[in-house]
Amino acid sequence: MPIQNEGLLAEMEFITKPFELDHIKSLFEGTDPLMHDIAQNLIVGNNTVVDTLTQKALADGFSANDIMDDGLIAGMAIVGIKFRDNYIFVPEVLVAARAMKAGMAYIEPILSESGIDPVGTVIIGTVKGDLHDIGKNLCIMMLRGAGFVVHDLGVDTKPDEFIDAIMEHDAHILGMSALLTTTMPNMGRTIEAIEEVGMRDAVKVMVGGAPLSQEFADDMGADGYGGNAIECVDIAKVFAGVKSASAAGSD
Amino acid sequence: MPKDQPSEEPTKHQPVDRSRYEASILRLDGIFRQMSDTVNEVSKWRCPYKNVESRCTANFGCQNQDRSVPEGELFICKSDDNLDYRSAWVVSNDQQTNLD
Repeated sequence: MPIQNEGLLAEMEFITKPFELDHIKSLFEGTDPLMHDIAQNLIVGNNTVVDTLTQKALADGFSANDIMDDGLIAGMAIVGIKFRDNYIFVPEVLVAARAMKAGMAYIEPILSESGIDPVGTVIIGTVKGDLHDIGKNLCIMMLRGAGFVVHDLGVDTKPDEFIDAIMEHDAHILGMSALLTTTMPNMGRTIEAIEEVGMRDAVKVMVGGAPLSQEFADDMGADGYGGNAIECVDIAKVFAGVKSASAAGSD
Repeated sequence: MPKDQPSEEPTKHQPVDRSRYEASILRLDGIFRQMSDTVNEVSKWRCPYKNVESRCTANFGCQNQDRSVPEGELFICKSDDNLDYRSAWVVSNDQQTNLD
């Protein structure tokens, strides 16, 4: 079936490499127009429409696999190309990721019903006194993409808020972000607070942020340090037991 | 393929094909890893909070914010992308007061 969604066709005009255009077209040709609508709305970050269309697709009998592959991921592939070629920037990528999350909210229960459990549960936030969130948000996008359930506590997160969320969601991984040298010590204070309530052995702590280093992470007692979103996911996978530490380091 | 069914009946979802799901996750992971590489590259010259319309999406103050916009609109980013944008970010309450 040819692609008729004009918005999606317009998005494809951003793809200038012929082999990529052929590949992207092959993702959509032969798939239902509803999947094209989901993809196009994901690309422009229209999360409410992706929400509605995903519900409709499931009600119409499309499989979760089809919606993921032909709608959500196919759309995200175009987002990746537009981002790489500087047609869009980080904020637009994060808006598309939010739209993907809207769709995945309906897929995840079906995964669970099918015996596919999340890789792990992660609590994540920017520490107290710090309002910088873009690195954290990129980590969240990648963690969700890798199959983790992520509870985002946002910015300016106090130690007791981290602890409450760990308990509420029975999470075994905590991620903390800081961009300022003045707020970095609050990571250590949060770890101390976790120790004080006797939960330190139950949760692995990973930290990240521009001013941090492995040495600083070690000093404050963190279990892992990630210098970027890829490392964040790899560390979380090691903590969840789905990747060996040596493999994480070699990627 | 979609099945015709009355909307008032509870929807019975097709079970997920695990191997196909795992392949999907791998594909998505590949897309996101490339995006992360792009973030590292683009962030060398462009503030990651600056959107495609050169508006600032940050929840904190920055000296590059042109705040003369209608209420509710994102501030305009004045950065020319040639300077180190990080030095413009507000990191203390005193600096924030000067912007307000």
